[in-house]
Amino acid sequence: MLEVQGVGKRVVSPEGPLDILVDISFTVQAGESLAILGASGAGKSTLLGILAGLDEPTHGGVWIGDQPLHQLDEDGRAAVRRTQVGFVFQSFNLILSLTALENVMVPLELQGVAQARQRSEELLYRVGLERRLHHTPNHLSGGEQQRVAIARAFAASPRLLFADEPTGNLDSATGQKIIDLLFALNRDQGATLVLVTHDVELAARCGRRLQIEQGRMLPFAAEEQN
Amino acid sequence: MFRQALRLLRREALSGELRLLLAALIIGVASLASVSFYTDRLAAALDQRKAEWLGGDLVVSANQPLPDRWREQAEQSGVEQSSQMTFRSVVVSGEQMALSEVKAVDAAYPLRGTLSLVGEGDQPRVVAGAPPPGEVWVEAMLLHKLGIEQGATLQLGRVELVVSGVIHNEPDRGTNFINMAPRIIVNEQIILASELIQPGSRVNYQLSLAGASSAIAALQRTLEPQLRNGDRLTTEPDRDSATGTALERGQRFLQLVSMVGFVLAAVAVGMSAHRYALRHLESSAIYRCLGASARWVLGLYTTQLLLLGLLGSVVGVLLGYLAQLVLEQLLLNVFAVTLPAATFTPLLLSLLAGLLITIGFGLPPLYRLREVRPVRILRADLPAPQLSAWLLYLPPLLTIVLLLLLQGGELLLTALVIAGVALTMLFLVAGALLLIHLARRIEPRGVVMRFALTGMTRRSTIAVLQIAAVGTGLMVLLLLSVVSRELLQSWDEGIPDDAPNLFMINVQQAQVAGISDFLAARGQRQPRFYPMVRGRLIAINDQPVSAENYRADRARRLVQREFNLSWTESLQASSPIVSGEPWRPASGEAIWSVEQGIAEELGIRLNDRLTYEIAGQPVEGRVANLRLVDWDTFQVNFFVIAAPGMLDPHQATYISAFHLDSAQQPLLVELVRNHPNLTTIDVAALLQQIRDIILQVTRSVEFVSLFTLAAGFLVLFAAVQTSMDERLRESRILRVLGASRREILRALTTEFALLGLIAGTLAALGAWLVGYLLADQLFRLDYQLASWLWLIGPLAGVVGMTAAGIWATRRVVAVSPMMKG
Ligand SMILES: Nc1ncnc2c1ncn2[C@@H]1O[C@H](COP(=O)(O)OP(=O)(O)O)[C@@H](O)[C@H]1O
Ligand SMILES: [Mg+2]
Repeated sequence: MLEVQGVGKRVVSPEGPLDILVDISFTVQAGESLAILGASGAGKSTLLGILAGLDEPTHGGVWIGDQPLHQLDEDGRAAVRRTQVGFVFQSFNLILSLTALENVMVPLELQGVAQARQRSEELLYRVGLERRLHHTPNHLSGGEQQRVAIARAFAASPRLLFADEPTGNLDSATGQKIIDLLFALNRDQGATLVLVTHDVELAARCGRRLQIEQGRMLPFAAEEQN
Repeated sequence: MFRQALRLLRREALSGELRLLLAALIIGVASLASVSFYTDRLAAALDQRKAEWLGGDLVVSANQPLPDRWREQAEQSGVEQSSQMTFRSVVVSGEQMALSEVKAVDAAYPLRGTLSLVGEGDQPRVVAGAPPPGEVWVEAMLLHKLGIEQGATLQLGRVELVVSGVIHNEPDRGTNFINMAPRIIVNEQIILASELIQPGSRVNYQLSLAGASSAIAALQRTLEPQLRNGDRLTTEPDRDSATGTALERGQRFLQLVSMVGFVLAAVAVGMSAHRYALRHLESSAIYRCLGASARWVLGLYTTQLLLLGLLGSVVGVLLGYLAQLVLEQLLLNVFAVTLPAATFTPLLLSLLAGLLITIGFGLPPLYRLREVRPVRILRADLPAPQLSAWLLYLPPLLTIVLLLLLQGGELLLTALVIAGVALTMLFLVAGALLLIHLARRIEPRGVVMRFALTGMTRRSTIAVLQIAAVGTGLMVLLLLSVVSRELLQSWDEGIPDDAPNLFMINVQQAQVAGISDFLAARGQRQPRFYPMVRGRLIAINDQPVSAENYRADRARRLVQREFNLSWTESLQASSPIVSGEPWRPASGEAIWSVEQGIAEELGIRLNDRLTYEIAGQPVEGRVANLRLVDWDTFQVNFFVIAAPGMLDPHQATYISAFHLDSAQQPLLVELVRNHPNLTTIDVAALLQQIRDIILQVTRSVEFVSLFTLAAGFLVLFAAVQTSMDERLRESRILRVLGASRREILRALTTEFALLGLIAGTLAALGAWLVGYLLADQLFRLDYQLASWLWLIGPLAGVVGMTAAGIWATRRVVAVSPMMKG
């Protein structure tokens, strides 16, 4: 489902070239769940961005299904994101001027799905927000916003779901509920999950783990926990 | 996407930037629309009533009686005809007298349009033909001037006439808005008996013709070759008259001011679009992340902007329509015509203008949303995508040029407007930079002062923009409200108290001595009488002169018409010779003395040989010198003066100017009773009328410039918004450090008051400079440095800017130290 081969990211900083990611390779099978673990600044978000086609690697390649992401242009990657990928972020990233319902409808409408509204309402019921359909993000709590984000991530029935520290901005009780919801929905939909976290307990709920330190994989640690 | 755009618009309609953008669009479009609606209606009125104003489809006018042959020819070609005579004359009633424009008409009058009199109740009564010989129809103004009522008796020359009607609408009154004297209409049959017309009297003889266009065209071909010198044949009402020029200038001025407002509003549109784009970087990244293409995202925000543009333009046009109703009221007495309903042209043009600024100013900043990279969602601290300066500044500039062309049509004027606005801006920006630089030197005492000063000096680009925008608005307003009035006043004051207030024209040679003695016997200074002969310049150095040789309208007019020549032994001391030899007419040589201005205009140089045609005879002479004439003294003077003996005294009438106190008015009545052919012109009343008209036009332009000021404040708001996040953050930190709301309010007040002081002072300085240049170059007046400007300008700047600034930043004051940011 997701294949990563020798991915590296080098940026040019004022102090000269800087390697944020070096030689990352792994494969995730359909239906699997993978946790990417690492300290803050390790390069997890950068990797996730590359995996999801938001950013381009400077070395190596990424395949989603049999699509070589690194060979597509931005519009091509947008098409892949639209049809195959869902996202949940640490800072929710809802569109502030749209209601909860409208936020969930966006990916469906981008795909031209006819029953966008009905499907979005169902999803919001599923995440327990049936009474918040017409609220804008400013009127929702952090946990509620993240539920909307989860509903939106699953709206277009993606085959791949990326989550970047989805509980990072939430207290632990709320975070726990959000994670439960995420895994439950993921199970229902049978999507492949790639989850970035620095929380070892959360990582333990995933099928496989991958440790990153200063932009490099620690393959042995990953194997150890496996 | 369209649905999405509508949805966004509905949600975001109340967000700060869009509200501002909408307001700016409305103000800009309204500013433009008000003036276009008004000028369009005025033009339509002029056009619709063309034939009416002309008095027929074809009109021949002359300053000598028309040959009977022409009437016969008209008769044969089967068109209707009517002849009229118009001239100025004094009418007397009891002890009162007034100058009037007499029109003597025949039974066929009017050929086009209707003449109506004020009737019973308020219903005007339509009449046709001439009044019966013993009666006269007059304008209400005359009754007022003479203090009489309908039914009273007037004396016109040697005849007595009963006022039997008050004119309500005179179709061929034309566009002459300077109503020098009220109209009276009499039957042509009384003219002979009145003895009003003497040799040399200025009378306009007119033959109006109306009929099928083919017959009219044929008649025109027949008459054209028969025209004598000074005869005119027209199918269009006189548009290049002084009135027409004034009318055009007034319209241009209105357009100019509305355009300045429009440009400022456009700047506000651009600024709010810019901020809107910056605030939507994240949303764009989210859409992109969810799989939308860059084009789609751009399309989404473009659609939203265009929808908003349409809304703003429509509302702006409506507001503009209402505003032009106000203009119509303000200018009611200036253009005394009923205006037809507005057409769709200004409506469409204004809508188009609104959409154009939406696109030209609003779209380029949004273009950066296309450049947003989806990875931004993971790294919100990425710098905003940069746009090339070409993309940001070229479309707005092109938009303005396009709009000016659409509006004015004239390339030169367009360039002038752009140059003028650019110069003003440059002046304001340079001044603002300088003053802000100076403010940097101030060592602030206390936290309030520091906060206020750094607010201004650190955000200096924004500060400069705010000063320039509000300064422009203020400057236009100051120019109109203070400078124009002060200029009028200093013009008034420049006229000496004993300057002539009365002109007496049409005096016959035989009457000169009698009138002088009459006045002398009653303790008045003996007036000086100047002979006046009418002639037309036909050749310079034996080269025939014709209108085609000249480009300037005024020069063309000057060579087409006859003008007044005089002769004298000695030139007046008040008009010094600027070049050439002293005036020595005794030498016996045929010489002219020419006024410098007209010499320049007609290309006449010293020692040129000028040939005038006077009553059919050529009179030739050499230009001996050029004179400077100060027309503002109201002394009698002439463009061209001959040596005595060159012109035939039998063709001359005499003119005199003298001062008569209002208490001496009965003297004048007596004089006119004895000499009915005299025409006296009350200069004071005439000046008052001109002053009134200038004030009305000024007021209407002032009204339009309110839009300009509003647009200036919108730019201020837009600029404040740009700094809003930073201000909120600073204010929060200050609050955490223990500053009270009062202190923050004081800091903001100080900052905006300082900005306002700078803007107001610069505006006053700019307005004064313009006023000074106008006075010095155009009107040759002294414009004093001591002016209300220096008080009103800074005061208005401080009050306006502080109020607007505090209102715009009220959130900064209300901020609580606990709010998260
Ligand atoms: N485009 C870039 N330019 C410079 N530095 C970058 C860039 N992208 C990421 N970084 C740096 O790379 C490191 C890894 O960032 P990130 O992937 O966000 O880490 P994590 O998500 O693991 O906390 C950080 O130090 C970050 O500042
Ligand atoms: Mg991260």
